[in-house]
Amino acid sequence: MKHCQRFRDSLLEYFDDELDVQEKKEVEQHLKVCPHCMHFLNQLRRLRSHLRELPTIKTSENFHILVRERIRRDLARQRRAKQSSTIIVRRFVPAFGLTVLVALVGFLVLDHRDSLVDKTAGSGGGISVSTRSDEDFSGPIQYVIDDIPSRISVSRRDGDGESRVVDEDSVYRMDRAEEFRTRPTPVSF
Amino acid sequence: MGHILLEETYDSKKKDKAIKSPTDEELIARFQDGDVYAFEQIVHRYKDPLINFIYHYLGNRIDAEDVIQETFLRVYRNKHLYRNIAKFSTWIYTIASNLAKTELRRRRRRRVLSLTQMGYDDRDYDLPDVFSSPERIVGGEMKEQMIKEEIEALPVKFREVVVLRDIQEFSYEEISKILNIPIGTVKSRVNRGRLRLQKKLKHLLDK
Repeated sequence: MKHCQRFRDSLLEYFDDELDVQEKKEVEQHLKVCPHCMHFLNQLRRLRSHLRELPTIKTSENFHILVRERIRRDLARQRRAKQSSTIIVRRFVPAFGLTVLVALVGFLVLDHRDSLVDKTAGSGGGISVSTRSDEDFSGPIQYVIDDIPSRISVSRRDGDGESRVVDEDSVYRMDRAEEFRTRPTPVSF
Repeated sequence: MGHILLEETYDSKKKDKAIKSPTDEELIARFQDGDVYAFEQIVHRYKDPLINFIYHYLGNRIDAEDVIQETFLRVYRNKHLYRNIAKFSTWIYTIASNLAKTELRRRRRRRVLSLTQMGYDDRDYDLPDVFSSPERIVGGEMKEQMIKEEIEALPVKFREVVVLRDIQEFSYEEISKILNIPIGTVKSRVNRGRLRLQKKLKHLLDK
Protein backbone atom coordinates (compact mmCIF):
# COMPACT_ATOMS: atom_id res chain seq x y z
CA MET A 1 0.00 0.00 0.00
CA LYS A 2 2.91 2.31 0.76
CA HIS A 3 4.04 1.75 -2.77
CA CYS A 4 0.55 2.79 -4.01
CA GLN A 5 0.58 6.04 -2.03
CA ARG A 6 3.23 7.32 -4.42
CA PHE A 7 0.82 6.77 -7.31
CA ARG A 8 -2.30 8.15 -5.66
CA ASP A 9 -1.85 11.73 -6.88
CA SER A 10 -0.67 10.54 -10.27
CA LEU A 11 -3.76 8.36 -10.49
CA LEU A 12 -6.04 11.37 -10.00
CA GLU A 13 -4.14 13.23 -12.70
CA TYR A 14 -4.22 10.15 -14.91
CA PHE A 15 -7.98 10.04 -14.40
CA ASP A 16 -8.21 13.68 -15.55
CA ASP A 17 -5.85 13.02 -18.46
CA GLU A 18 -3.41 15.59 -17.15
CA LEU A 19 -0.20 13.53 -17.38
CA ASP A 20 2.44 13.59 -20.08
CA VAL A 21 3.15 10.46 -22.15
CA GLN A 22 5.98 9.18 -19.93
CA GLU A 23 4.05 9.63 -16.67
CA LYS A 24 1.00 8.05 -18.21
CA LYS A 25 3.05 4.96 -19.16
CA GLU A 26 4.40 4.67 -15.62
CA VAL A 27 0.91 4.77 -14.11
CA GLU A 28 -0.38 2.23 -16.62
CA GLN A 29 2.51 -0.10 -15.77
CA HIS A 30 1.64 0.21 -12.10
CA LEU A 31 -2.07 -0.41 -12.73
CA LYS A 32 -1.25 -3.71 -14.41
CA VAL A 33 0.33 -5.04 -11.24
CA CYS A 34 -1.71 -3.28 -8.52
CA PRO A 35 -5.33 -4.34 -8.01
CA HIS A 36 -5.81 -1.70 -5.23
CA CYS A 37 -5.02 1.17 -7.54
CA MET A 38 -7.04 -0.39 -10.34
CA HIS A 39 -10.00 -0.65 -7.97
CA PHE A 40 -9.51 2.97 -6.88
CA LEU A 41 -9.43 4.12 -10.50
CA ASN A 42 -12.54 2.12 -11.37
CA GLN A 43 -14.39 3.65 -8.44
CA LEU A 44 -13.45 7.11 -9.69
CA ARG A 45 -14.70 6.23 -13.15
CA ARG A 46 -17.97 4.89 -11.77
CA LEU A 47 -18.42 7.98 -9.61
CA ARG A 48 -17.96 10.27 -12.60
CA SER A 49 -20.38 8.27 -14.74
CA HIS A 50 -22.97 8.36 -11.91
CA LEU A 51 -22.54 12.12 -11.60
CA ARG A 52 -22.92 12.64 -15.33
CA GLU A 53 -25.97 10.39 -15.44
CA LEU A 54 -27.82 12.43 -12.85
CA PRO A 55 -31.10 13.60 -14.37
CA THR A 56 -30.91 17.16 -15.61
CA ILE A 57 -33.29 19.75 -14.31
CA LYS A 58 -35.19 22.03 -16.61
CA THR A 59 -36.37 25.53 -15.91
CA SER A 60 -40.10 26.13 -15.80
CA GLU A 61 -42.08 26.50 -19.03
CA ASN A 62 -42.66 30.21 -18.55
CA PHE A 63 -39.05 30.96 -17.63
CA HIS A 64 -38.55 33.41 -20.51
CA ILE A 65 -41.67 35.31 -19.48
CA LEU A 66 -40.51 35.44 -15.86
CA VAL A 67 -37.10 36.81 -16.91
CA ARG A 68 -38.76 39.42 -19.15
CA GLU A 69 -41.12 40.40 -16.32
CA ARG A 70 -38.21 40.73 -13.91
CA ILE A 71 -36.32 42.94 -16.36
CA ARG A 72 -39.44 45.06 -16.95
CA ARG A 73 -39.92 45.55 -13.18
CA ASP A 74 -36.25 46.47 -12.80
CA LEU A 75 -36.43 49.01 -15.62
CA ALA A 76 -39.59 50.53 -14.09
CA ARG A 77 -37.86 50.74 -10.69
CA GLN A 78 -34.84 52.43 -12.27
CA ARG A 79 -37.14 54.91 -14.04
CA ARG A 80 -38.89 55.72 -10.74
CA ALA A 81 -35.54 56.20 -8.98
CA LYS A 82 -34.42 58.51 -11.77
CA GLN A 83 -37.66 60.48 -11.55
CA SER A 84 -37.39 60.90 -7.78
CA SER A 85 -33.79 62.06 -8.12
CA THR A 86 -34.96 64.54 -10.80
CA ILE A 87 -37.62 65.82 -8.37
CA ILE A 88 -34.92 66.31 -5.74
CA VAL A 89 -32.79 68.19 -8.24
CA ARG A 90 -35.72 70.26 -9.52
CA ARG A 91 -37.33 71.17 -6.20
CA PHE A 92 -34.93 70.87 -3.31
CA VAL A 93 -31.78 72.17 -4.92
CA PRO A 94 -33.36 75.52 -6.00
CA ALA A 95 -35.05 75.84 -2.59
CA PHE A 96 -31.74 75.24 -0.86
CA GLY A 97 -30.00 77.67 -3.22
CA LEU A 98 -32.64 80.31 -2.53
CA THR A 99 -32.22 79.86 1.25
CA VAL A 100 -28.48 80.26 0.93
CA LEU A 101 -28.95 83.35 -1.25
CA VAL A 102 -31.38 84.96 1.25
CA ALA A 103 -28.99 84.22 4.13
CA LEU A 104 -26.11 85.70 2.17
CA VAL A 105 -28.03 88.85 1.27
CA GLY A 106 -29.17 89.22 4.89
CA PHE A 107 -25.62 88.87 6.11
CA LEU A 108 -24.36 91.42 3.59
CA VAL A 109 -27.09 93.93 4.55
CA LEU A 110 -26.32 93.57 8.26
CA ASP A 111 -22.61 93.85 7.61
CA HIS A 112 -23.16 97.01 5.55
CA ARG A 113 -25.29 98.59 8.31
CA ASP A 114 -22.61 97.82 10.93
CA SER A 115 -19.95 99.44 8.81
CA LEU A 116 -22.16 102.58 8.47
CA VAL A 117 -22.50 102.74 12.29
CA ASP A 118 -18.75 102.32 12.66
CA LYS A 119 -18.12 105.21 10.26
CA THR A 120 -20.48 107.45 12.26
CA ALA A 121 -18.79 106.37 15.48
CA GLY A 122 -15.37 107.54 14.38
CA SER A 123 -12.08 105.95 13.70
CA GLY A 124 -10.86 102.67 15.11
CA GLY A 125 -12.61 99.35 15.49
CA GLY A 126 -13.93 97.33 18.36
CA ILE A 127 -16.63 98.39 20.75
CA SER A 128 -18.48 101.50 19.75
CA VAL A 129 -20.65 103.73 21.87
CA SER A 130 -23.78 104.96 20.24
CA THR A 131 -24.52 108.69 20.23
CA ARG A 132 -28.18 107.97 20.89
CA SER A 133 -27.55 108.17 24.65
CA ASP A 134 -26.34 111.74 24.18
CA GLU A 135 -29.91 112.90 23.82
CA ASP A 136 -30.60 111.90 27.44
CA PHE A 137 -28.29 114.62 28.71
CA SER A 138 -29.19 118.24 28.68
CA GLY A 139 -25.74 119.68 29.31
CA PRO A 140 -22.45 119.25 27.55
CA ILE A 141 -21.28 115.64 27.76
CA GLN A 142 -17.83 114.25 28.03
CA TYR A 143 -16.72 110.69 27.71
CA VAL A 144 -14.00 109.55 30.00
CA ILE A 145 -11.98 106.54 29.10
CA ASP A 146 -10.26 104.43 31.67
CA ASP A 147 -6.75 103.03 31.30
CA ILE A 148 -8.55 99.75 31.01
CA PRO A 149 -10.69 100.42 27.95
CA SER A 150 -13.45 98.09 29.04
CA ARG A 151 -14.68 100.62 31.59
CA ILE A 152 -16.24 103.91 30.68
CA SER A 153 -17.84 106.50 32.83
CA VAL A 154 -20.03 109.21 31.44
CA SER A 155 -20.03 112.53 33.24
CA ARG A 156 -21.87 115.77 32.68
CA ARG A 157 -20.33 119.15 33.27
CA ASP A 158 -22.51 121.57 35.19
CA GLY A 159 -22.80 125.28 34.56
CA ASP A 160 -20.06 126.06 37.16
CA GLY A 161 -17.64 123.76 35.39
CA GLU A 162 -17.91 120.91 37.93
CA SER A 163 -17.93 117.38 36.49
CA ARG A 164 -20.45 114.84 37.82
CA VAL A 165 -20.69 111.13 37.00
CA VAL A 166 -24.13 110.37 35.63
CA ASP A 167 -23.64 106.71 34.81
CA GLU A 168 -23.66 104.92 38.19
CA ASP A 169 -22.71 101.56 36.74
CA SER A 170 -19.44 102.75 35.34
CA VAL A 171 -16.95 103.43 38.06
CA TYR A 172 -14.08 105.72 37.30
CA ARG A 173 -11.45 107.67 39.18
CA MET A 174 -12.55 111.24 38.77
CA ASP A 175 -9.14 112.71 39.47
CA ARG A 176 -7.86 111.37 36.15
CA ALA A 177 -10.87 112.44 34.19
CA GLU A 178 -9.28 115.64 33.01
CA GLU A 179 -6.57 113.77 31.22
CA PHE A 180 -9.14 112.09 29.04
CA ARG A 181 -11.46 114.96 28.43
CA THR A 182 -12.69 114.70 24.94
CA ARG A 183 -15.20 116.25 22.67
CA PRO A 184 -18.75 114.97 23.18
CA THR A 185 -18.48 112.51 20.35
CA PRO A 186 -18.86 108.74 20.49
CA VAL A 187 -15.78 106.83 21.43
CA SER A 188 -14.81 103.48 20.14
CA PHE A 189 -12.05 101.08 21.09
CA MET B 1 -16.39 26.43 -65.45
CA GLY B 2 -13.93 27.50 -62.83
CA HIS B 3 -15.93 30.64 -62.33
CA ILE B 4 -19.10 28.66 -61.60
CA LEU B 5 -17.25 26.45 -59.10
CA LEU B 6 -15.99 29.48 -57.25
CA GLU B 7 -19.49 30.89 -57.04
CA GLU B 8 -20.83 27.57 -55.76
CA THR B 9 -18.15 27.42 -53.06
CA TYR B 10 -18.97 30.99 -52.03
CA ASP B 11 -22.68 30.15 -51.82
CA SER B 12 -22.10 27.04 -49.72
CA LYS B 13 -19.87 29.02 -47.37
CA LYS B 14 -22.62 31.60 -47.00
CA LYS B 15 -25.13 28.83 -46.28
CA ASP B 16 -22.79 27.28 -43.69
CA LYS B 17 -22.43 30.61 -41.96
CA ALA B 18 -26.19 31.07 -41.90
CA ILE B 19 -26.77 27.58 -40.52
CA LYS B 20 -23.94 27.75 -37.97
CA SER B 21 -25.31 29.13 -34.75
CA PRO B 22 -23.55 32.21 -33.44
CA THR B 23 -21.05 31.84 -30.62
CA ASP B 24 -21.84 33.17 -27.15
CA GLU B 25 -19.37 35.99 -27.69
CA GLU B 26 -21.08 36.96 -30.95
CA LEU B 27 -24.46 36.95 -29.23
CA ILE B 28 -23.36 39.17 -26.36
CA ALA B 29 -21.67 41.54 -28.85
CA ARG B 30 -24.94 41.79 -30.75
CA PHE B 31 -26.81 42.37 -27.51
CA GLN B 32 -24.34 45.09 -26.56
CA ASP B 33 -25.24 46.73 -29.87
CA GLY B 34 -28.91 46.72 -28.86
CA ASP B 35 -30.16 43.43 -30.35
CA VAL B 36 -32.60 42.14 -27.71
CA TYR B 37 -33.22 38.96 -29.70
CA ALA B 38 -29.58 38.01 -29.06
CA PHE B 39 -30.30 38.27 -25.32
CA GLU B 40 -33.28 35.95 -25.73
CA GLN B 41 -30.97 33.44 -27.41
CA ILE B 42 -28.49 33.70 -24.52
CA VAL B 43 -31.31 32.99 -22.06
CA HIS B 44 -32.41 30.02 -24.13
CA ARG B 45 -28.87 28.65 -24.33
CA TYR B 46 -27.90 29.05 -20.69
CA LYS B 47 -31.06 28.62 -18.63
CA ASP B 48 -30.82 24.83 -18.29
CA PRO B 49 -27.04 24.42 -17.79
CA LEU B 50 -27.15 27.17 -15.18
CA ILE B 51 -30.06 25.72 -13.25
CA ASN B 52 -28.29 22.36 -13.11
CA PHE B 53 -25.25 24.07 -11.65
CA ILE B 54 -27.14 26.24 -9.15
CA TYR B 55 -29.51 23.47 -8.14
CA HIS B 56 -26.55 21.51 -6.74
CA TYR B 57 -25.49 24.64 -4.88
CA LEU B 58 -28.84 25.31 -3.25
CA GLY B 59 -30.59 21.93 -3.41
CA ASN B 60 -33.87 23.69 -4.13
CA ARG B 61 -35.41 24.16 -7.55
CA ILE B 62 -37.44 27.29 -6.76
CA ASP B 63 -34.48 29.11 -5.21
CA ALA B 64 -32.23 27.95 -8.05
CA GLU B 65 -34.66 29.31 -10.64
CA ASP B 66 -34.87 32.59 -8.78
CA VAL B 67 -31.06 32.87 -8.80
CA ILE B 68 -30.95 32.14 -12.54
CA GLN B 69 -33.56 34.81 -13.26
CA GLU B 70 -31.50 37.27 -11.24
CA THR B 71 -28.38 36.16 -13.17
CA PHE B 72 -30.04 37.02 -16.49
CA LEU B 73 -31.23 40.33 -15.08
CA ARG B 74 -27.62 41.14 -14.09
CA VAL B 75 -26.43 40.20 -17.57
CA TYR B 76 -29.11 42.46 -19.07
CA ARG B 77 -28.30 45.32 -16.74
CA ASN B 78 -24.50 45.03 -16.95
CA LYS B 79 -24.03 43.93 -20.55
CA HIS B 80 -21.60 46.81 -21.12
CA LEU B 81 -19.28 45.35 -18.43
CA TYR B 82 -18.54 42.21 -20.45
CA ARG B 83 -15.28 42.41 -22.37
CA ASN B 84 -14.33 39.93 -25.04
CA ILE B 85 -11.14 38.94 -23.21
CA ALA B 86 -12.87 36.17 -21.28
CA LYS B 87 -15.28 33.48 -22.39
CA PHE B 88 -18.91 34.49 -21.98
CA SER B 89 -19.69 31.18 -20.24
CA THR B 90 -17.06 31.95 -17.58
CA TRP B 91 -18.59 35.39 -17.02
CA ILE B 92 -22.18 34.21 -16.67
CA TYR B 93 -21.22 31.26 -14.44
CA THR B 94 -19.26 33.64 -12.20
CA ILE B 95 -22.33 35.86 -11.80
CA ALA B 96 -24.54 32.85 -11.06
CA SER B 97 -22.16 31.30 -8.52
CA ASN B 98 -21.72 34.62 -6.71
CA LEU B 99 -25.49 35.03 -6.46
CA ALA B 100 -25.86 31.45 -5.23
CA LYS B 101 -23.23 32.06 -2.54
CA THR B 102 -25.08 35.20 -1.45
CA GLU B 103 -28.28 33.14 -1.19
CA LEU B 104 -26.46 30.50 0.90
CA ARG B 105 -25.15 33.21 3.27
CA ARG B 106 -28.66 34.66 3.59
CA ARG B 107 -30.03 31.22 4.42
CA ARG B 108 -27.35 30.67 7.06
CA ARG B 109 -28.22 34.00 8.72
CA ARG B 110 -31.92 33.17 8.59
CA ARG B 111 -31.26 29.74 10.15
CA VAL B 112 -29.19 31.26 12.98
CA LEU B 113 -31.91 33.83 13.60
CA SER B 114 -34.74 31.31 13.64
CA LEU B 115 -32.83 29.02 16.03
CA THR B 116 -32.03 31.86 18.43
CA GLN B 117 -35.65 33.04 18.32
CA MET B 118 -36.91 29.54 19.08
CA GLY B 119 -38.41 29.08 22.53
CA TYR B 120 -37.48 26.28 24.94
CA ASP B 121 -40.60 24.25 24.09
CA ASP B 122 -39.97 24.56 20.39
CA ARG B 123 -36.56 22.90 20.47
CA ASP B 124 -37.80 19.33 20.28
CA TYR B 125 -38.72 19.00 16.63
CA ASP B 126 -38.49 16.50 13.79
CA LEU B 127 -37.76 17.22 10.20
CA PRO B 128 -39.98 15.32 7.79
CA ASP B 129 -38.07 12.72 5.79
CA VAL B 130 -39.31 13.73 2.38
CA PHE B 131 -36.69 11.76 0.50
CA SER B 132 -37.42 8.27 1.75
CA SER B 133 -41.12 8.13 0.92
CA PRO B 134 -42.12 4.79 -0.70
CA GLU B 135 -42.93 6.50 -3.99
CA ARG B 136 -39.43 7.79 -4.25
CA ILE B 137 -37.61 4.57 -3.48
CA VAL B 138 -38.14 3.05 -6.88
CA GLY B 139 -35.44 1.76 -9.22
CA GLY B 140 -32.60 4.15 -9.92
CA GLU B 141 -34.36 7.09 -8.29
CA MET B 142 -33.08 6.11 -4.88
CA LYS B 143 -29.53 5.87 -6.17
CA GLU B 144 -29.82 9.29 -7.75
CA GLN B 145 -31.29 10.68 -4.56
CA MET B 146 -28.40 9.27 -2.53
CA ILE B 147 -25.86 10.82 -4.86
CA LYS B 148 -27.65 14.17 -4.77
CA GLU B 149 -27.79 14.11 -1.00
CA GLU B 150 -24.08 13.33 -0.74
CA ILE B 151 -23.24 16.15 -3.16
CA GLU B 152 -25.33 18.54 -1.07
CA ALA B 153 -23.65 17.30 2.09
CA LEU B 154 -20.23 18.33 0.74
CA PRO B 155 -18.82 21.64 1.95
CA VAL B 156 -19.54 24.38 -0.63
CA LYS B 157 -15.89 24.73 -1.65
CA PHE B 158 -15.75 21.05 -2.69
CA ARG B 159 -19.29 20.91 -4.01
CA GLU B 160 -18.91 23.76 -6.49
CA VAL B 161 -15.73 22.41 -8.06
CA VAL B 162 -16.98 18.82 -8.29
CA VAL B 163 -20.21 19.99 -9.96
CA LEU B 164 -18.34 22.21 -12.40
CA ARG B 165 -15.75 19.55 -13.21
CA ASP B 166 -17.63 16.23 -13.16
CA ILE B 167 -21.19 17.29 -13.99
CA GLN B 168 -20.79 20.45 -16.07
CA GLU B 169 -17.48 19.25 -17.59
CA PHE B 170 -15.56 22.51 -17.35
CA SER B 171 -11.77 22.49 -17.64
CA TYR B 172 -9.65 23.25 -14.56
CA GLU B 173 -8.67 26.56 -16.12
CA GLU B 174 -12.27 27.61 -16.67
CA ILE B 175 -13.22 26.64 -13.11
CA SER B 176 -10.30 28.66 -11.85
CA LYS B 177 -11.63 31.71 -13.72
CA ILE B 178 -15.25 31.20 -12.69
CA LEU B 179 -14.44 30.88 -9.00
CA ASN B 180 -11.43 33.19 -9.07
CA ILE B 181 -9.09 30.71 -7.35
CA PRO B 182 -5.75 29.24 -8.51
CA ILE B 183 -5.76 26.13 -10.72
CA GLY B 184 -3.79 24.20 -8.09
CA THR B 185 -6.49 24.91 -5.52
CA VAL B 186 -9.19 23.81 -7.98
CA LYS B 187 -7.39 20.50 -8.62
CA SER B 188 -6.84 19.78 -4.96
CA ARG B 189 -10.47 20.64 -4.09
CA VAL B 190 -11.82 18.50 -6.92
CA ASN B 191 -9.75 15.56 -5.75
CA ARG B 192 -10.70 16.00 -2.11
CA GLY B 193 -14.36 16.33 -3.05
CA ARG B 194 -14.21 13.22 -5.20
CA LEU B 195 -12.49 11.23 -2.45
CA ARG B 196 -15.17 12.26 0.04
CA LEU B 197 -17.93 11.24 -2.34
CA GLN B 198 -16.13 8.01 -3.11
CA LYS B 199 -15.97 7.21 0.59
CA LYS B 200 -19.62 8.08 1.24
CA LEU B 201 -20.92 6.26 -1.83
CA LYS B 202 -18.61 3.25 -1.46
CA HIS B 203 -21.49 0.76 -1.29
CA LEU B 204 -22.87 2.16 -4.53
CA LEU B 205 -19.58 2.25 -6.38
CA ASP B 206 -18.52 -1.29 -5.38
CA LYS B 207 -21.58 -2.85 -6.99
